Amino acid sequence: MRTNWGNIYAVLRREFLDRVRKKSFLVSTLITPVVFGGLMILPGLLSVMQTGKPTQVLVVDRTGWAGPAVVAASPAARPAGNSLESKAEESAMNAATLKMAPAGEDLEAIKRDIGDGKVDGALFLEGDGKAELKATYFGQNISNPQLFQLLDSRLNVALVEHRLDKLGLDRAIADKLKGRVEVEPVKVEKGGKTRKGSIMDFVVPIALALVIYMMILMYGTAIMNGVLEEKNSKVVEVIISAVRPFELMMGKIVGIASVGLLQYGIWFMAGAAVFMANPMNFQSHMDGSPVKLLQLVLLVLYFLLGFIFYSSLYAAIGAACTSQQETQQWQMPIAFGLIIPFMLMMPTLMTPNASWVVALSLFPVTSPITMLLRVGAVEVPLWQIGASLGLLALGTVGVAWAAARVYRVGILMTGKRPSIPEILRWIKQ
Amino acid sequence: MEALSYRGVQKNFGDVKAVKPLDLDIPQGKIFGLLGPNGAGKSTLIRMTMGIFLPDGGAISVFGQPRGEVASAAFGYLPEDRGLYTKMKVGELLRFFASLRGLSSAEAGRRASEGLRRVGLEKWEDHKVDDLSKGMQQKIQLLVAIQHRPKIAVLDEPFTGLDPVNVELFMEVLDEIIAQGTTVVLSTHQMEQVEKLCHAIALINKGEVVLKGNVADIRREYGSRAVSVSFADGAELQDSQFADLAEKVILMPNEARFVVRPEAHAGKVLKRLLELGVNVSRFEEAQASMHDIFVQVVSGSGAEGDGHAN
Repeated sequence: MRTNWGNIYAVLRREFLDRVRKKSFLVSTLITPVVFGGLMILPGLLSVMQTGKPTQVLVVDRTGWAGPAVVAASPAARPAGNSLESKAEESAMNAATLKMAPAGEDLEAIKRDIGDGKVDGALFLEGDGKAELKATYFGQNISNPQLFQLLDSRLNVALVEHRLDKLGLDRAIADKLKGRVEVEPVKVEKGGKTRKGSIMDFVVPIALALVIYMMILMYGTAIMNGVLEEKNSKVVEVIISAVRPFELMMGKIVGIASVGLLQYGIWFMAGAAVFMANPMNFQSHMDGSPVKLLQLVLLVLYFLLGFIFYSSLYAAIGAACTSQQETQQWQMPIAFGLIIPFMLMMPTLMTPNASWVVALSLFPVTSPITMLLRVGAVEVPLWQIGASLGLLALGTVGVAWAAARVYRVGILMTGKRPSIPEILRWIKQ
Repeated sequence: MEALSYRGVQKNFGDVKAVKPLDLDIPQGKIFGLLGPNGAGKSTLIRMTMGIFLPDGGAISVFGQPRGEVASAAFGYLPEDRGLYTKMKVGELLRFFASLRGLSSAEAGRRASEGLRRVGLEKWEDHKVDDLSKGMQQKIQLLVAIQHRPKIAVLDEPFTGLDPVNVELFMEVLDEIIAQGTTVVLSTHQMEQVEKLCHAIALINKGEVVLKGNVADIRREYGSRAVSVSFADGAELQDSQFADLAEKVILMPNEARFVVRPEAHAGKVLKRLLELGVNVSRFEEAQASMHDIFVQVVSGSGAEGDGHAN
């Protein structure tokens, strides 16, 4: 019998409507962006915002010049910017207040006070023959990076000023010398076209990979549980008497993938609407948008192929097992295919053309995530994209074929759990 | 023409021979009963008929065509276990299964309302299957099996969970679809239903057909061997006087029962009684019930088997 597309459509339609009409779909569509937005923005927000009161630091000076200089130093901020980095720096500069310790204060006594929690911390300054200035910080909490950013910055300003004074330079001239410079990242695209870099260059590839990762994990598991449910309720017998197992599996996978696409479509549109409604944001973030049409096309292609690839595996697991507990041990190795390229995200973005990265972006198991990361970071040669998609398509057909065979036998099996050799036999027969 | 023909059909699960090579013909346009104890291989035979399992050997043909070439629209199936999506609405569920059996959506909608009206569930179209009682769900299962007017409807234990009123309703509906030309294959344990409904049966035990034929013929064959007599002047009768004719004799002062030997005939028992000068006032062949036949055949064939019925 040939594949009956009408049957696939009927199954697809049922799966789609069944899930979209559920309250949980509405809830997850509404809640997820809130939670995710929170997860993505909160740490940034917290690092920007003043969290709690500034650390009180006593400065104990044994050099005779450095103490007052450090307390008085106002670091020249980078050119006022709106970027996340400059906001974070600004907030770091307010992380602590510095105060000179009363003259003749004993360091040991201060340490005792710190230990008892009466004083937050102390900056001990001394100079010796080797170094002009040696600084030590004593504190109960030495894991606040903002504090050290602030202390470093002030100490170095004080030190530079001290050296300038020793050279006998006018303070007015000295102030002019303190201005900082910063590298401006400019992205060069095909044909030498350039575009100002922004934080989006970093965020977009990660976001694309994250979308795929989340979708496959969420909806792949949904497929597995759906298969398990059908199998345990025996409804599968009635279905299989009317459609071929392959048609049932494909209808299910594509139906649930459509639910996922719809959900992401809603989020995408909502996100776009929010940006549009706020011209300021839209201007600053979307000008020369780093999201290219190619990326969106690839996102959809990699999503569809990767989704079918992984979902087939999940469907086969659902068919081969009889309970949720049983599925656990099979899920892990599959999830690794997604987790590994995700864990390698940073090195992938730093060296997007390293040979191992190229290999991962071609290998069907890891290619959906790794290739999207690469495409976001650099211009990937078209032949690599083509080869990656081609290999993924081949792999998907192969996996779907094998999974359909496991599925065909598994969905009608009840009772004991099949062993791996048994499953291999199902594939071969 | 035979609706279904099985030739050498068999199925093994590992070492268990669920269905041994089996020949069977199911005539068109009637209700055919598939009987047998639990674990006899009925459900496996049904699943092979429905294309859920492929036989390990032999061939199934449907109106002369190989099973694999017959469109799924020709079949309807009511499985023994609950086979419904419980979270779906009744109407949607019926339309979904109708579309899998090749009906257009308009036609599917029409048949769903029609079917629900027929079984008295028209008010439940927009309720979830979960909200229905077991008996109501069974009615929905019946509709799933017959709504697309299949050529062959296979019903595995359709009367489970039904009250007597609904059993009657099911029987009426079955009569209607037979009148429309559907062939029904019915698997059941309830022998009264077999007597009322089935035209022919096959009794399966341990993966083999141990008895098949028309219900009337079978009952006559088994029935003609049981004889019940009322008489006067028979106080002197001895069992031994009938040893050559009956395998079992029960003598009472004014009554007797005989189970006639297969090679003998009930008439000979009457003749012997008259020869012995007994004044016979009543002589009748007792109708053997399908229940008795079932028990007799299954326990008879069970004695020699290796026995892994569950």
